[in-house]
Amino acid sequence: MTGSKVTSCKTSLISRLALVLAVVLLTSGLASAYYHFTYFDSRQGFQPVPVRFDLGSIPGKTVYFFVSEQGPTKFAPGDTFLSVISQIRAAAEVWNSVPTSDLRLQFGGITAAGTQQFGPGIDVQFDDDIDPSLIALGGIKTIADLSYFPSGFIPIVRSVLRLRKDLSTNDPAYSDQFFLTLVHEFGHTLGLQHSFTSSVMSTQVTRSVTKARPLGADDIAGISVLYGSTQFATTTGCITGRITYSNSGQGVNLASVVAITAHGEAVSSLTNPDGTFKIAGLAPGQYMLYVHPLPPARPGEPTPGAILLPLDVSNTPFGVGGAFDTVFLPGTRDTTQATQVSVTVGASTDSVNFSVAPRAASAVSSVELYGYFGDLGLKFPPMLANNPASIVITGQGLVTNKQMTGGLTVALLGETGIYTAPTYYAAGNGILFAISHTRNLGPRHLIVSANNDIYVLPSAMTVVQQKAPSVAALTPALDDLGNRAVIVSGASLSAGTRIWFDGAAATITRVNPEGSLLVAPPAANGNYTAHVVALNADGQTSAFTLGSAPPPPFGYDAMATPSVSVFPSRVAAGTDAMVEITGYNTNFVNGQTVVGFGSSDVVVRRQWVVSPTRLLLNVSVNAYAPFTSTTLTVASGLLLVSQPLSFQITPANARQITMRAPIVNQATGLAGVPVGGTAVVSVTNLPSSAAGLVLTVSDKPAAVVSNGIALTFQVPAGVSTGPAVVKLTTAQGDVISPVILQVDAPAPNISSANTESSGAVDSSRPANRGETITLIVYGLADGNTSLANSIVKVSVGGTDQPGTNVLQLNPLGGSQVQFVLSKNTPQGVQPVVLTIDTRVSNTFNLAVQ
Amino acid sequence: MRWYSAIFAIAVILSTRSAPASTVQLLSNDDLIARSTSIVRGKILSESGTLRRSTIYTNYRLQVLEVMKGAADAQIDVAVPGGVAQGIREIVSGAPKLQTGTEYVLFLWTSPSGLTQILGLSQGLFLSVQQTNGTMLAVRPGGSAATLVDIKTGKTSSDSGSQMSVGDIRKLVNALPASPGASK
Repeated sequence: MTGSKVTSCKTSLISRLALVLAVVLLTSGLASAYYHFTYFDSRQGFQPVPVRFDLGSIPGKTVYFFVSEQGPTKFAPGDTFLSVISQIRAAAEVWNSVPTSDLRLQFGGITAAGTQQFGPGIDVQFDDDIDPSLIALGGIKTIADLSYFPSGFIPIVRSVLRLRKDLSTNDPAYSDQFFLTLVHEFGHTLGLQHSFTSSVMSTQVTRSVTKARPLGADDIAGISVLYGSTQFATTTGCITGRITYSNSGQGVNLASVVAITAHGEAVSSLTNPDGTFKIAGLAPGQYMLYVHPLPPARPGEPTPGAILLPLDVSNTPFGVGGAFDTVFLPGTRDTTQATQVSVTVGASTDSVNFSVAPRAASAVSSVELYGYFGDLGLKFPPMLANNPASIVITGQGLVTNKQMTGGLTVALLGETGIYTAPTYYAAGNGILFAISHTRNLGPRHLIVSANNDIYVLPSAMTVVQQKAPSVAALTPALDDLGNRAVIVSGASLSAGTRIWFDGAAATITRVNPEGSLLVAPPAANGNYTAHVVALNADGQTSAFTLGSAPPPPFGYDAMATPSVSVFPSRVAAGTDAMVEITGYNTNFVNGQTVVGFGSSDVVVRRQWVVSPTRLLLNVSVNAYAPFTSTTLTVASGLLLVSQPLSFQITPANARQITMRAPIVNQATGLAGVPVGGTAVVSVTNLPSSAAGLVLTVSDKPAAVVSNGIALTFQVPAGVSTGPAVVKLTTAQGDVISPVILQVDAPAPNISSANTESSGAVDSSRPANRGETITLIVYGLADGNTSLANSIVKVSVGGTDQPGTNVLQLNPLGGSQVQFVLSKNTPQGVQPVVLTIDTRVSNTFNLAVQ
Repeated sequence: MRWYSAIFAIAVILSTRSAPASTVQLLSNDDLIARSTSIVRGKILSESGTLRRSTIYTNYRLQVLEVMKGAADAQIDVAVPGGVAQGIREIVSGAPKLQTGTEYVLFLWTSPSGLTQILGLSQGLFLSVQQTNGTMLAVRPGGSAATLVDIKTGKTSSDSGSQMSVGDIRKLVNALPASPGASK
């Protein structure tokens, strides 16, 4: 590409859809590009101001979502409120899987109607006021006064995801469609608008993601632009440029600019009112770029693609630019002539400018692609590599007067000679063509040419290596330890398959020789019936082979009704406190149990699963929280216990002394301190003198030093690892609400580093960049924390190394920790530090050449 | 190449797909007429934001000029999700904005709790346009001419749904089967 430059990233719709499908599939709009709810603070120098949550002011960057206690009144066959809740939780969890986003969503429990809350959050409601044609609505709330733009964004004060109270006409909760609708609506609640690259934020017309792989690259980029982590900046690059009309030179507003590779997913962005654009979140590599106008508004869409138009501060919208020819850079409809744009990490490739020719309307739009799968037809289907396939496409502009539009051709981006000429397919009022074979795995992008225009449908199909998974039978069994288990039999199942019981994942304990899986089902309430599906990493799900048949059900045994008690049941606004939850007929499991207090004003800082019936938590209550009673919810797998009015927020006392969680290690700043280590606890309203203050850790006294805002103390000998209760009593004898300190095992010790090629690494045999390094580490596991539930990180020269893998734990306590030394590592001796949860190792000097 | 299989499979697609699972079901004109609790032609007089439970709606006060289905007072309120109330703005993707002073034909749905809304977000919203011969048309804002093909019969219709004559709406309403307690 000519004329582009690289700078720092920082500086920088047949005849309308044949009613054939319109009647059957009917959705709102289609789309291509990640996009946000956007304001501009000036009609000059357009700098988009998105609407998003203010993670900087949200504890733990965690946004709670709450499910209304006033649930659905009617369900699809086989559904219950619990099964719907499990899918809601699973859909929210999808947005937690983005490593380049700091945003985390957490189930805040069941919320009673009218619960007064101050903090931001997401409310999932079931509403009788939603008309029968609407499946779900996602909305965001902001302060109405937009006279200023704090910090370059508009904070969301509350979001809402609404479903109908009558879910009987919806797809069942276990269906891929219901799940993806929830993921999509959660996307709206987080600040994402519709997209046009077949991602989950596309409307269902062009949405090609699946329950097994619900997010597209475009979704990941879109959420990361709003809530980017440090990893976003260090692993991706961006492209900027401007789209102008060839006849006037004026910028095009809301043109969709798409970066794409032949066998990769598309990432895109919409242009600003002056035609400028920035596509962020691109993995390094070479991309083709194309630009297309938004598709015409479909029935029910107030704007093209149902995009809420960008607004100025007076809420005046910037109109959508007129239609133009879709072209690939540098202005061609011939994809073999398209030029490549290079993207590098942490940099912006700038001045990638397009000039487009206006036209009255796009020749083709809203294309949907169908293939067959056994006897079942699938939209945006998987295609078995090296196998033939027959395809039908429908959409606007493909058919004219019951004939294929004159001159229409179809192609797959980057593929030649593997497909037949298209023909009119009367039964579907669409276009039929065949593919002889496909080789490389991954997405394929459809290109339709007609009337001197092209239409690109990213990820129209996906080439896969094996058939979709299926679940044929569920057989109750016992695992090797005698625990209740289930043998899942079917096809295309492997250790990499995820088995879901409704919205909760089972734990695969063994792959049997004949290919079945032995799984530990998630905990559930007695007599619960879960529908079991299989999800494979290639994006295929067992629903692909089921058609409209339900997945096989699994019935849980009867059991006594679980319940919980909480102590203390009252916590004052503006304070932190330890909370203990005792379960009856429960089976709390570390990593699966979630506690919600039904209010965004009560934040769970950390929880410890002490036993199957006991939980300890540190909670913080918002200083502005109103006096109210809330519902306590404890969920573990599919098991859910909800107790209304069991927790109370009492009024704030401005002079209340309170210890702040977490208590941190003075040496590391992390929320875990070993015995003998120095702990620091911030204290609000701390007396000016520490004299008379009595602090104990697990009832063992610890001398304290005050600096006026925090107390420092040494963790006494004899305190066990794990959660320890820290109590503080004032000189006047006032007992301050205790909080929990995580007492860690001693720090792990890196003893040596090895490579496969040269053995031990030292100054005479330095490690090579890009090489796999094996660290020998002692004391990695602390005997208290499960290694499987821990996060091990290795940093070299202060830079986290991705792909850390703990290989084994030998009987002597030594572990092998492997990582690939980054190719960006400087030469010379580099400090290596390993972190597991809150424990930080010694510094090991690694020679690098 | 298994063309027969392909055709069979596609036929399956077109005949067995279940009800849509998306944010909005697309409603045909027949659907709009059948599912609406009332159909009116009217002029927007004013708009105001209101908080109903925890949802913000924009209430449009409508001067009713003609009732084609159901019953309606001389002035009615039509709620559209999203808007501004009590200092808070709620943005709802896909919600339409109506213009004060403009005449519309509205396919309305009244919830069990009494909230009257446009059916299918923008789908039940049509501009009221008088032709030179005096005929009143309901024209979908931003709609484009298209041919609809019925999946079951294969019949096409030149009326894409983007516009209908008010007279035809009346005829279709009158052709609806009577249901107990319902008024046409």
